[in-house]
Amino acid sequence: MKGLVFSSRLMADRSSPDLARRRNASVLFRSDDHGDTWNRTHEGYVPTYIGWDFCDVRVAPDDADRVYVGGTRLIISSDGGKTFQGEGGFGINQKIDEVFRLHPHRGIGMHLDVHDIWIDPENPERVILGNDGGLFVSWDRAQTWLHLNNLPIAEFYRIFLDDQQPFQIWGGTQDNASFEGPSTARHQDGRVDQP
Amino acid sequence: MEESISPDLTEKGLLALAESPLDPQRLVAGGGQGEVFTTSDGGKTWKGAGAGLPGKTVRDIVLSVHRPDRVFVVLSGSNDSDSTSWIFRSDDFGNSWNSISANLPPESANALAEDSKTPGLLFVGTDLGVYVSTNNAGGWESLCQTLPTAPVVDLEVQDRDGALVAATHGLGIFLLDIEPIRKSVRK
Repeated sequence: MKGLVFSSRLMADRSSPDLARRRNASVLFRSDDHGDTWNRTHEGYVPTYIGWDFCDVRVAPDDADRVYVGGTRLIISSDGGKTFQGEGGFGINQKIDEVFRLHPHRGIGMHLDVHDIWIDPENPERVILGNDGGLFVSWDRAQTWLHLNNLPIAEFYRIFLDDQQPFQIWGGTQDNASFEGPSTARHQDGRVDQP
Repeated sequence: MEESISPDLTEKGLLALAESPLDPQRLVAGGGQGEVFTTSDGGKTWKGAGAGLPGKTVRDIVLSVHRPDRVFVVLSGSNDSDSTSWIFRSDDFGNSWNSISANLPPESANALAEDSKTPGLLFVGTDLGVYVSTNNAGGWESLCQTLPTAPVVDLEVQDRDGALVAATHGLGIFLLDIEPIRKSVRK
Protein backbone atom coordinates (compact mmCIF):
# COMPACT_ATOMS: atom_id res chain seq x y z
CA MET A 1 0.00 0.00 0.00
CA LYS A 2 3.03 2.25 0.03
CA GLY A 3 2.45 5.23 -2.21
CA LEU A 4 -1.29 4.65 -2.46
CA VAL A 5 -3.28 7.85 -2.81
CA PHE A 6 -6.92 8.40 -3.74
CA SER A 7 -8.23 11.75 -4.84
CA SER A 8 -11.78 12.80 -5.56
CA ARG A 9 -13.12 15.75 -7.47
CA LEU A 10 -16.64 17.05 -7.65
CA MET A 11 -18.25 17.04 -11.07
CA ALA A 12 -21.73 17.57 -12.43
CA ASP A 13 -23.11 14.29 -13.69
CA ARG A 14 -24.83 15.27 -16.93
CA SER A 15 -25.06 11.75 -18.28
CA SER A 16 -28.80 11.56 -17.82
CA PRO A 17 -30.90 13.15 -20.55
CA ASP A 18 -33.52 13.72 -17.85
CA LEU A 19 -32.64 17.14 -16.37
CA ALA A 20 -34.35 16.35 -13.08
CA ARG A 21 -32.03 13.38 -12.59
CA ARG A 22 -28.84 15.31 -13.17
CA ARG A 23 -27.04 15.70 -9.89
CA ASN A 24 -23.65 16.51 -8.47
CA ALA A 25 -21.34 13.53 -8.52
CA SER A 26 -17.64 12.85 -8.12
CA VAL A 27 -14.84 11.23 -9.99
CA LEU A 28 -12.22 9.22 -8.14
CA PHE A 29 -8.56 8.81 -9.07
CA ARG A 30 -6.01 6.37 -7.67
CA SER A 31 -2.24 6.59 -7.61
CA ASP A 32 0.03 3.77 -6.47
CA ASP A 33 3.27 5.74 -6.90
CA HIS A 34 2.99 8.59 -4.40
CA GLY A 35 0.89 10.66 -6.81
CA ASP A 36 3.21 10.64 -9.85
CA THR A 37 0.65 8.92 -12.08
CA TRP A 38 -3.11 8.68 -11.68
CA ASN A 39 -5.86 6.41 -12.95
CA ARG A 40 -9.56 6.98 -12.82
CA THR A 41 -10.95 4.03 -10.86
CA HIS A 42 -14.34 3.73 -12.50
CA GLU A 43 -16.55 4.53 -15.46
CA GLY A 44 -19.10 7.30 -15.14
CA TYR A 45 -19.44 9.01 -11.82
CA VAL A 46 -19.23 8.22 -8.14
CA PRO A 47 -22.65 9.13 -6.68
CA THR A 48 -21.68 11.49 -3.85
CA TYR A 49 -24.43 13.95 -4.86
CA ILE A 50 -22.78 16.78 -2.95
CA GLY A 51 -19.55 18.73 -2.78
CA TRP A 52 -18.08 21.47 -0.56
CA ASP A 53 -16.24 19.93 2.36
CA PHE A 54 -17.80 16.55 1.72
CA CYS A 55 -16.39 13.72 -0.37
CA ASP A 56 -13.66 12.58 1.99
CA VAL A 57 -11.91 9.48 0.73
CA ARG A 58 -10.58 6.92 3.22
CA VAL A 59 -8.95 3.54 2.59
CA ALA A 60 -9.01 0.59 4.98
CA PRO A 61 -5.48 0.28 6.45
CA ASP A 62 -5.49 -3.49 5.82
CA ASP A 63 -7.16 -3.52 2.37
CA ALA A 64 -6.06 -1.11 -0.36
CA ASP A 65 -9.20 -1.90 -2.39
CA ARG A 66 -11.68 -1.05 0.35
CA VAL A 67 -12.49 2.62 -0.19
CA TYR A 68 -14.93 4.71 1.84
CA VAL A 69 -16.28 7.89 0.24
CA GLY A 70 -18.50 10.37 2.02
CA GLY A 71 -21.23 12.29 0.23
CA THR A 72 -24.86 12.71 1.05
CA ARG A 73 -24.40 9.07 2.13
CA LEU A 74 -21.42 6.87 2.87
CA ILE A 75 -20.59 4.73 -0.14
CA ILE A 76 -18.09 1.91 -0.03
CA SER A 77 -16.06 0.15 -2.69
CA SER A 78 -14.46 -3.23 -2.16
CA ASP A 79 -12.80 -3.29 -5.58
CA GLY A 80 -10.55 -0.26 -5.45
CA GLY A 81 -13.16 2.29 -6.47
CA LYS A 82 -14.53 0.50 -9.52
CA THR A 83 -17.99 -0.08 -8.09
CA PHE A 84 -19.66 1.22 -4.96
CA GLN A 85 -22.15 -0.19 -2.50
CA GLY A 86 -24.79 2.23 -1.35
CA GLU A 87 -25.42 3.76 -4.76
CA GLY A 88 -29.09 2.85 -4.67
CA GLY A 89 -29.83 5.77 -2.42
CA PHE A 90 -30.62 3.87 0.73
CA GLY A 91 -27.62 2.32 2.39
CA ILE A 92 -24.71 0.02 2.07
CA ASN A 93 -26.86 -3.09 1.56
CA GLN A 94 -29.39 -1.38 -0.71
CA LYS A 95 -31.72 -1.14 2.25
CA ILE A 96 -32.13 1.32 5.09
CA ASP A 97 -28.99 1.29 7.20
CA GLU A 98 -29.21 -0.68 10.41
CA VAL A 99 -28.67 1.87 13.16
CA PHE A 100 -28.90 1.23 16.90
CA ARG A 101 -29.12 4.19 19.23
CA LEU A 102 -28.07 4.96 22.81
CA HIS A 103 -31.27 6.96 23.35
CA PRO A 104 -34.68 6.39 21.74
CA HIS A 105 -35.02 8.36 18.52
CA ARG A 106 -37.69 8.52 15.87
CA GLY A 107 -35.18 8.69 13.06
CA ILE A 108 -34.91 5.71 10.74
CA GLY A 109 -31.62 4.70 9.20
CA MET A 110 -28.55 6.84 8.80
CA HIS A 111 -28.60 10.63 8.84
CA LEU A 112 -27.48 12.30 5.63
CA ASP A 113 -24.44 14.43 4.80
CA VAL A 114 -21.24 12.64 5.73
CA HIS A 115 -18.59 15.17 6.76
CA ASP A 116 -15.94 12.90 8.20
CA ILE A 117 -14.87 9.26 8.16
CA TRP A 118 -12.34 7.74 10.54
CA ILE A 119 -11.04 4.19 10.35
CA ASP A 120 -9.22 2.82 13.37
CA PRO A 121 -5.66 2.18 12.17
CA GLU A 122 -5.26 -0.54 14.82
CA ASN A 123 -8.61 -2.18 14.13
CA PRO A 124 -10.09 -1.52 10.67
CA GLU A 125 -13.37 -3.14 11.76
CA ARG A 126 -14.05 0.05 13.70
CA VAL A 127 -15.26 2.98 11.62
CA ILE A 128 -16.58 6.29 12.93
CA LEU A 129 -18.80 8.52 10.85
CA GLY A 130 -19.51 12.19 11.50
CA ASN A 131 -22.58 13.52 9.74
CA ASP A 132 -25.32 16.08 10.31
CA GLY A 133 -26.97 13.68 12.78
CA GLY A 134 -23.91 13.41 15.03
CA LEU A 135 -21.44 10.57 15.55
CA PHE A 136 -22.00 6.96 14.49
CA VAL A 137 -19.63 4.08 15.26
CA SER A 138 -19.44 0.70 13.52
CA TRP A 139 -17.56 -2.39 14.69
CA ASP A 140 -18.21 -4.36 11.48
CA ARG A 141 -16.71 -2.24 8.72
CA ALA A 142 -19.70 0.03 8.28
CA GLN A 143 -22.38 -2.66 7.99
CA THR A 144 -24.25 -1.71 11.19
CA TRP A 145 -24.01 1.39 13.35
CA LEU A 146 -24.45 2.71 16.85
CA HIS A 147 -25.65 6.31 17.00
CA LEU A 148 -23.79 7.99 19.89
CA ASN A 149 -26.76 10.24 20.52
CA ASN A 150 -25.88 10.96 24.13
CA LEU A 151 -23.85 13.97 23.02
CA PRO A 152 -25.55 17.29 23.89
CA ILE A 153 -24.65 18.96 20.61
CA ALA A 154 -27.97 20.26 19.28
CA GLU A 155 -27.68 23.36 17.13
CA PHE A 156 -30.72 25.40 18.10
CA TYR A 157 -32.11 28.44 16.34
CA ARG A 158 -35.13 29.62 18.30
CA ILE A 159 -36.80 28.49 21.49
CA PHE A 160 -40.19 29.11 23.06
CA LEU A 161 -41.24 28.54 26.69
CA ASP A 162 -44.81 27.73 27.73
CA ASP A 163 -46.68 27.88 31.05
CA GLN A 164 -47.21 24.18 31.71
CA GLN A 165 -46.16 22.72 35.05
CA PRO A 166 -43.23 22.15 34.73
CA PHE A 167 -42.80 24.52 31.82
CA GLN A 168 -41.82 22.99 28.50
CA ILE A 169 -39.06 24.20 26.21
CA TRP A 170 -39.79 24.11 22.48
CA GLY A 171 -37.04 24.60 19.93
CA GLY A 172 -36.02 24.16 16.31
CA THR A 173 -32.60 22.78 15.36
CA GLN A 174 -30.35 22.71 12.33
CA ASP A 175 -31.16 19.63 10.23
CA ASN A 176 -32.53 17.67 13.20
CA ALA A 177 -36.21 18.64 13.46
CA SER A 178 -37.95 20.48 16.29
CA PHE A 179 -38.08 19.31 19.87
CA GLU A 180 -40.20 19.79 22.95
CA GLY A 181 -39.25 18.71 26.44
CA PRO A 182 -39.76 19.50 30.12
CA SER A 183 -37.53 22.18 31.64
CA THR A 184 -36.87 19.80 34.54
CA ALA A 185 -35.16 17.27 32.23
CA ARG A 186 -31.45 16.94 32.59
CA HIS A 187 -29.09 15.68 29.95
CA GLN A 188 -28.53 12.37 31.76
CA ASP A 189 -32.28 11.71 31.93
CA GLY A 190 -32.15 10.58 28.35
CA ARG A 191 -35.21 12.49 27.25
CA VAL A 192 -33.23 15.08 25.42
CA ASP A 193 -33.36 13.29 22.10
CA GLN A 194 -37.08 12.54 21.88
CA PRO A 195 -38.83 14.80 19.43
CA MET B 1 -56.85 30.65 6.15
CA GLU B 2 -53.73 32.69 5.51
CA GLU B 3 -53.84 36.43 5.26
CA SER B 4 -51.01 38.79 4.48
CA ILE B 5 -50.46 41.43 7.16
CA SER B 6 -47.82 43.42 5.30
CA PRO B 7 -46.63 44.32 1.83
CA ASP B 8 -43.27 42.88 0.75
CA LEU B 9 -41.18 44.86 3.24
CA THR B 10 -37.69 43.75 2.18
CA GLU B 11 -36.21 42.27 -0.97
CA LYS B 12 -34.38 39.56 0.92
CA GLY B 13 -36.94 38.53 3.49
CA LEU B 14 -37.55 39.06 7.16
CA LEU B 15 -35.50 37.38 9.86
CA ALA B 16 -37.19 38.54 13.06
CA LEU B 17 -40.72 39.41 14.15
CA ALA B 18 -42.04 40.34 17.59
CA GLU B 19 -45.38 41.27 19.09
CA SER B 20 -45.87 43.64 22.01
CA PRO B 21 -46.97 41.81 25.17
CA LEU B 22 -48.85 44.99 26.12
CA ASP B 23 -50.61 45.70 22.81
CA PRO B 24 -51.07 42.92 20.24
CA GLN B 25 -51.64 45.54 17.50
CA ARG B 26 -47.97 46.48 17.80
CA LEU B 27 -45.53 44.40 15.78
CA VAL B 28 -41.89 44.97 14.83
CA ALA B 29 -40.11 43.12 12.01
CA GLY B 30 -36.45 43.09 11.01
CA GLY B 31 -34.36 42.05 7.99
CA GLY B 32 -30.82 41.11 7.05
CA GLN B 33 -29.42 44.60 6.45
CA GLY B 34 -30.56 46.56 9.47
CA GLU B 35 -34.09 47.10 8.16
CA VAL B 36 -36.69 47.47 10.91
CA PHE B 37 -40.42 48.01 10.36
CA THR B 38 -43.12 48.84 12.89
CA THR B 39 -46.88 48.68 12.88
CA SER B 40 -49.27 49.89 15.58
CA ASP B 41 -52.45 48.69 13.90
CA GLY B 42 -51.88 44.97 13.60
CA GLY B 43 -50.19 45.26 10.22
CA LYS B 44 -52.54 47.56 8.30
CA THR B 45 -49.81 50.19 7.98
CA TRP B 46 -46.06 49.67 8.31
CA LYS B 47 -43.36 52.24 8.87
CA GLY B 48 -39.63 51.98 8.26
CA ALA B 49 -37.81 52.37 11.58
CA GLY B 50 -34.25 51.37 10.72
CA ALA B 51 -32.77 54.88 10.58
CA GLY B 52 -29.83 55.08 12.96
CA LEU B 53 -29.23 51.33 13.04
CA PRO B 54 -26.18 49.65 11.43
CA GLY B 55 -26.79 47.66 8.25
CA LYS B 56 -26.27 44.34 10.01
CA THR B 57 -28.45 41.26 10.36
CA VAL B 58 -31.39 41.73 12.73
CA ARG B 59 -31.14 38.69 14.99
CA ASP B 60 -33.69 39.50 17.69
CA ILE B 61 -36.43 42.02 18.44
CA VAL B 62 -37.97 42.42 21.89
CA LEU B 63 -40.95 44.65 22.64
CA SER B 64 -40.82 45.63 26.27
CA VAL B 65 -43.28 44.23 28.77
CA HIS B 66 -42.82 47.38 30.87
CA ARG B 67 -43.40 50.20 28.35
CA PRO B 68 -45.38 49.97 25.09
CA ASP B 69 -43.03 52.36 23.25
CA ARG B 70 -39.86 50.48 24.23
CA VAL B 71 -38.21 48.22 21.63
CA PHE B 72 -34.89 46.37 21.74
CA VAL B 73 -33.10 45.30 18.56
CA VAL B 74 -30.09 42.98 18.44
CA LEU B 75 -28.02 42.95 15.24
CA SER B 76 -25.13 40.73 14.25
CA GLY B 77 -22.28 41.39 11.85
CA SER B 78 -20.95 37.85 12.00
CA ASN B 79 -21.68 37.39 8.28
CA ASP B 80 -19.07 40.04 7.46
CA SER B 81 -16.59 39.19 10.25
CA ASP B 82 -17.76 42.06 12.43
CA SER B 83 -17.90 40.92 16.05
CA THR B 84 -19.26 44.15 17.52
CA SER B 85 -22.15 43.72 19.97
CA TRP B 86 -24.86 45.75 18.24
CA ILE B 87 -27.70 46.22 20.74
CA PHE B 88 -30.10 49.14 20.55
CA ARG B 89 -33.08 50.44 22.49
CA SER B 90 -35.83 52.78 21.34
CA ASP B 91 -38.21 54.45 23.79
CA ASP B 92 -40.34 56.01 21.06
CA PHE B 93 -41.33 52.85 19.15
CA GLY B 94 -38.55 53.00 16.60
CA ASN B 95 -38.27 56.72 15.83
CA SER B 96 -34.83 56.94 17.43
CA TRP B 97 -32.32 54.41 18.71
CA ASN B 98 -29.61 54.41 21.36
CA SER B 99 -26.84 51.86 21.68
CA ILE B 100 -27.03 49.93 24.94
CA SER B 101 -23.96 47.74 24.35
CA ALA B 102 -22.13 49.69 27.10
CA ASN B 103 -19.24 47.54 28.38
CA LEU B 104 -20.18 44.34 26.51
CA PRO B 105 -17.10 42.65 25.01
CA PRO B 106 -16.82 42.59 21.20
CA GLU B 107 -18.84 39.39 20.67
CA SER B 108 -21.59 39.25 18.06
CA ALA B 109 -24.90 39.43 19.92
CA ASN B 110 -27.81 37.21 18.98
CA ALA B 111 -30.60 37.56 21.54
CA LEU B 112 -32.00 39.72 24.31
CA ALA B 113 -34.50 38.93 27.06
CA GLU B 114 -36.26 41.14 29.56
CA ASP B 115 -37.55 40.02 32.95
CA SER B 116 -41.20 41.01 33.32
CA LYS B 117 -41.05 40.77 37.11
CA THR B 118 -38.00 43.00 37.57
CA PRO B 119 -37.84 46.25 35.59
CA GLY B 120 -34.29 47.03 34.53
CA LEU B 121 -33.17 43.37 34.50
CA LEU B 122 -31.94 42.39 31.03
CA PHE B 123 -30.06 39.46 29.54
CA VAL B 124 -28.05 39.26 26.33
CA GLY B 125 -26.82 36.18 24.48
CA THR B 126 -23.66 36.51 22.35
CA ASP B 127 -21.50 34.19 20.26
CA LEU B 128 -19.50 33.43 23.43
CA GLY B 129 -21.95 33.55 26.32
CA VAL B 130 -24.66 35.27 28.36
CA TYR B 131 -24.52 38.69 30.05
CA VAL B 132 -26.81 40.38 32.56
CA SER B 133 -27.62 43.98 33.30
CA THR B 134 -29.40 44.88 36.52
CA ASN B 135 -29.60 48.61 35.75
CA ASN B 136 -31.40 48.86 32.41
CA ALA B 137 -28.27 48.32 30.32
CA GLY B 138 -26.13 50.82 32.21
CA GLY B 139 -23.54 48.04 32.39
CA TRP B 140 -23.24 44.32 31.75
CA GLU B 141 -21.74 41.45 33.75
CA SER B 142 -20.89 37.94 32.57
CA LEU B 143 -23.18 35.04 33.50
CA CYS B 144 -20.83 32.51 31.90
CA GLN B 145 -19.35 30.99 35.02
CA THR B 146 -20.96 27.56 34.55
CA LEU B 147 -21.82 27.90 30.88
CA PRO B 148 -19.53 26.27 28.31
CA THR B 149 -18.43 28.50 25.46
CA ALA B 150 -20.91 28.27 22.60
CA PRO B 151 -22.91 30.71 20.50
CA VAL B 152 -26.04 31.59 22.48
CA VAL B 153 -28.61 32.02 19.74
CA ASP B 154 -31.79 32.59 21.76
CA LEU B 155 -32.67 33.61 25.32
CA GLU B 156 -36.05 33.43 27.02
CA VAL B 157 -37.18 34.12 30.59
CA GLN B 158 -39.89 31.96 32.15
CA ASP B 159 -41.38 34.63 34.41
CA ARG B 160 -43.39 32.39 36.74
CA ASP B 161 -40.48 30.09 37.58
CA GLY B 162 -37.69 32.68 37.40
CA ALA B 163 -35.74 30.66 34.85
CA LEU B 164 -33.47 31.98 32.13
CA VAL B 165 -33.22 29.51 29.23
CA ALA B 166 -30.31 29.80 26.80
CA ALA B 167 -30.35 27.94 23.49
CA THR B 168 -26.94 27.34 21.94
CA HIS B 169 -25.80 26.46 18.46
CA GLY B 170 -23.96 23.21 19.13
CA LEU B 171 -24.34 22.46 22.83
CA GLY B 172 -28.09 22.19 23.40
CA ILE B 173 -30.01 24.18 25.99
CA PHE B 174 -29.01 25.56 29.40
CA LEU B 175 -31.19 26.84 32.23
CA LEU B 176 -30.29 29.31 34.99
CA ASP B 177 -32.29 30.09 38.15
CA ILE B 178 -32.51 33.89 38.15
CA GLU B 179 -34.34 34.28 41.48
CA PRO B 180 -31.09 35.26 43.26
CA ILE B 181 -30.50 37.96 40.63
CA ARG B 182 -34.10 39.19 40.93
CA LYS B 183 -33.72 39.45 44.70
CA SER B 184 -30.47 41.37 44.47
CA VAL B 185 -32.05 43.87 42.07
CA ARG B 186 -35.08 44.44 44.30
CA LYS B 187 -32.97 45.16 47.39
